[in-house]
Amino acid sequence: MTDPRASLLLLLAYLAALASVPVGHNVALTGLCVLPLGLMLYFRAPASLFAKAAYVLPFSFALAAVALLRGQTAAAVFFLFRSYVSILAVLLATHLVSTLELLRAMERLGAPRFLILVTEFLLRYLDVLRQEADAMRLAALCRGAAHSRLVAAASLGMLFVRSLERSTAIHAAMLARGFRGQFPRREALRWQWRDSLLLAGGLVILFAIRLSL
Amino acid sequence: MHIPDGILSAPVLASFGAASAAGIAISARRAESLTEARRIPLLGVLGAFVFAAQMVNFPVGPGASGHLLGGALLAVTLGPWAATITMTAILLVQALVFQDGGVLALAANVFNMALLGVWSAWWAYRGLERLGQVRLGVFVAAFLSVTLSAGLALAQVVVSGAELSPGLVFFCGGLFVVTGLIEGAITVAAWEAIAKLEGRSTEPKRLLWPILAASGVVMLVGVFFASQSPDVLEVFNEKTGAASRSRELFAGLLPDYEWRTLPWEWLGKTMAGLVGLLLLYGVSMLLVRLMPKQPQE
Repeated sequence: MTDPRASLLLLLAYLAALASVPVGHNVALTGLCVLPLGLMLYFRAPASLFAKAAYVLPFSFALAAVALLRGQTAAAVFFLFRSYVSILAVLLATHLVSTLELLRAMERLGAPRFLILVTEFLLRYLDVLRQEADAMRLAALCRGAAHSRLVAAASLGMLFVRSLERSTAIHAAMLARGFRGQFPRREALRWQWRDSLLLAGGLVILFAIRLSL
Repeated sequence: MHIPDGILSAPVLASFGAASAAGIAISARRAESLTEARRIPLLGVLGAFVFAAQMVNFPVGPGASGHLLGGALLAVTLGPWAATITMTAILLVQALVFQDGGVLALAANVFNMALLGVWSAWWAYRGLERLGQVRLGVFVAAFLSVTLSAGLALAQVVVSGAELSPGLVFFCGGLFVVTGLIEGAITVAAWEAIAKLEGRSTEPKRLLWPILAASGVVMLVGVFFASQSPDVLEVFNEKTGAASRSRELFAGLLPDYEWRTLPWEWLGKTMAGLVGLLLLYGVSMLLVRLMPKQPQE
């Protein structure tokens, strides 16, 4: 099992290498594109990642459209391609390593623990609050509530107050389970020689592609 | 406003990354010292609240709706340090789980939305709160939080090498201002609803005229600037010839986008643009009315 820190560092190094390719350097860009495609084949990642990467590109599409209208076809294709490959790399990383593991890696690499704790609570209650909002919407439909500003504002207010109540209940549950005001330190991640090898190999390949093409 | 990976240049990423890392390290330390352990779940749950609140569609005018973005509401309810950390957590989840905004681009996105967005909202709110204008403070906080972060995001994209015409930059600026006004209206409504549910009294409604006046000024300035500089739509017109065709079509109604009876040329262009916008809005409304309604699930 690879240490998530190695995966995260490689992802960041790859994205930085892509960001450093200037507009028009298509050979370097193509060389870097080969890496995520090879990894997708190696890990047998689902082909749906290709579609998902395209689905989340509206910002880049807008920029590319502007460049196209100004007659800069090469720049448009470059921007679109570079952001598409970047998203593909992130999708591949999050497919191979879970979000919680990535957060743990960030913490071990120096991200503030307080931020990671808040993010973990957010992830834990994300679906709970979304289901709550969905239930409120269904209830409003059932009682035939009009689509008005008053109803929407009341829904937001109610959702906020319920969030406060939910956080009080979470704290009560934490106390019942032995919480004494300190969050326990988690078990340290184990960095092994093969992680060093993977990271060093990955960085050498990235530098080689970036500097030679 | 969430910049994806592959758009920003390395120098922009490096400089904003350093600023964001320092800002988040300081904010985390301050927020941790100010927040009791029992309130840590609250920050996470309020972060989840922002996601859920984005599912509530808010009518902001006939035929138009928007949703809460949440930076200013977090700043006003949690204070700036905790709001910065909650907003950063939201951006992290958006980048890692929903691919909304890039991972490396978090360097810029965190600076724009979690630092600039939250702190500009907080200072505006505090300043107006001290003058006794709490409601106006909430509105201005939400407006600034959106417009400043979006404006900086656009500047980062331009500095990174994307060539945008002045006309398009003004068009984007206009969009940001409209989004800011919508965010202000939604944040005030949510803030009032929360106050009502918590049994706090709010000020009487005195915001309608200032908001309408601000919207009018913004619209006039926007249309004036749009009429002065060539933009992408004009390039499109030149290439497709749509301009001459549409001019012929609307010649009787708005000849050459000028209201000839008005004395000043720029005011004529501005008013004609405004009438054109209202006309377009009316046609869109008519189309929406004529379209068959989808059955409810």
